[in-house]
Amino acid sequence: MERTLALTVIEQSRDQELVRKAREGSRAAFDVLFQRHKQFIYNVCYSMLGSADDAVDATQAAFIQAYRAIRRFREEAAFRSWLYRIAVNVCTRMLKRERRRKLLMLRSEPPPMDVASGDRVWEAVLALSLDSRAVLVLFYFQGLTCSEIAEALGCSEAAVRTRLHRARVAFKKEYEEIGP
Amino acid sequence: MKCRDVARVLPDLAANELSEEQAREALAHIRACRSCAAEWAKYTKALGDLSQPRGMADVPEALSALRLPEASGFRLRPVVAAVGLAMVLALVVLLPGLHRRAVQEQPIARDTQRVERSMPPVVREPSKPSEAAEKSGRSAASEPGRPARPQKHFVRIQEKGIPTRPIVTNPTHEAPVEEPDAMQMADAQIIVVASWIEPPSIIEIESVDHATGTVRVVKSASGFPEGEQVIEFESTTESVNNRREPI
Repeated sequence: MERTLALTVIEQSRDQELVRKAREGSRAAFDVLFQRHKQFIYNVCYSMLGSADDAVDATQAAFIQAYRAIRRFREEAAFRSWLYRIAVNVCTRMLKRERRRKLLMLRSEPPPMDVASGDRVWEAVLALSLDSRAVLVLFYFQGLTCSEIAEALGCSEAAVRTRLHRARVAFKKEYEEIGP
Repeated sequence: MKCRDVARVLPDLAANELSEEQAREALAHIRACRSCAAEWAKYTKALGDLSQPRGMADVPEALSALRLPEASGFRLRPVVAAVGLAMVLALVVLLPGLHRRAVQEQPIARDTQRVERSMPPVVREPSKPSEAAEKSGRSAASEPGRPARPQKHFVRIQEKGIPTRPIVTNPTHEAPVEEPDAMQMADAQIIVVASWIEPPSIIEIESVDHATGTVRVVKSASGFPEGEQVIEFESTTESVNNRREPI
């Protein structure tokens, strides 16, 4: 009974409190943070990678990294933005590794792109560079504002606007090339 | 606004991120320009499709729980790093000792050894100005009114005859080295590798006195001054096993 009550209290806590508890070593607090944010992070990874399996791996990797580095988390940033940044970095690393593998001809067939099948928007997004893809995903699919994206990507708001502008031009080009 | 200006702002116009005034100007141009209107339509379509709300993808069962590594989990990387560091430290500590031991245990082939002394000596005061120095244009030391600059001769003294007693050298400089005495050195040649004598030449000496550093030169093939030269030896002894130089 007491344990259930304690869990309920933890679940109702705000992110800041949970982060503080997780920093003190509370695994239960971090589990609540995971349950709370996993869908957003999974969706970012899914949009970046285009594969459900890879997105699961990336989400797990992002949360494990966050768990290990939670003592270094500075509380002036939102926890979710920090998680976004870790997730984007994990996805970028995975995509670069994939690209290297392709360059080495170790993998001849294209990677599985579940989300791209028959969806022109997805196909166009997945054809973009990693920078452009990250800002478009965060802005259009996750609904983040420019300042939130700046926090998540660790750059200035002006840089985000510039990247967004470039990403829109690139997206329109890809979208036209894919055709109706 | 011209077509070029409008083309630049079209993505932002389609995303509703232009100021009111800029948007009005751009739209006025678009109404008048057919090509810009076509481009505008394409942007509106592409970005409109991109902005369509997309439901969140369902989280798969694999993400029902976080698979955190155990707190006491064995992490390989630090262990490998520690083992590597320990091996490097062990090598650094042990190798010099092993090398020293191996050298000490090595038998010395006394009969095949030759001794060579590399000595960068300094002539304290030349008895008379060197002809070769004058010829080579480096006569600053012998110019009138200038103090004599000590000339550095890089002199290698090499045995000529069979030494009266064996001369032992040890490359590690740990074993005592028997120095060739004056009698032995009298029966020797000096190879002069002075910078001002080209090519390095061989001179014959009559006597070498280590105590005073005096060398008596009896025969010189090149510009090395004959007669008595006072040389300051900064001697090191090195082994020259298996080296044969033409004399």
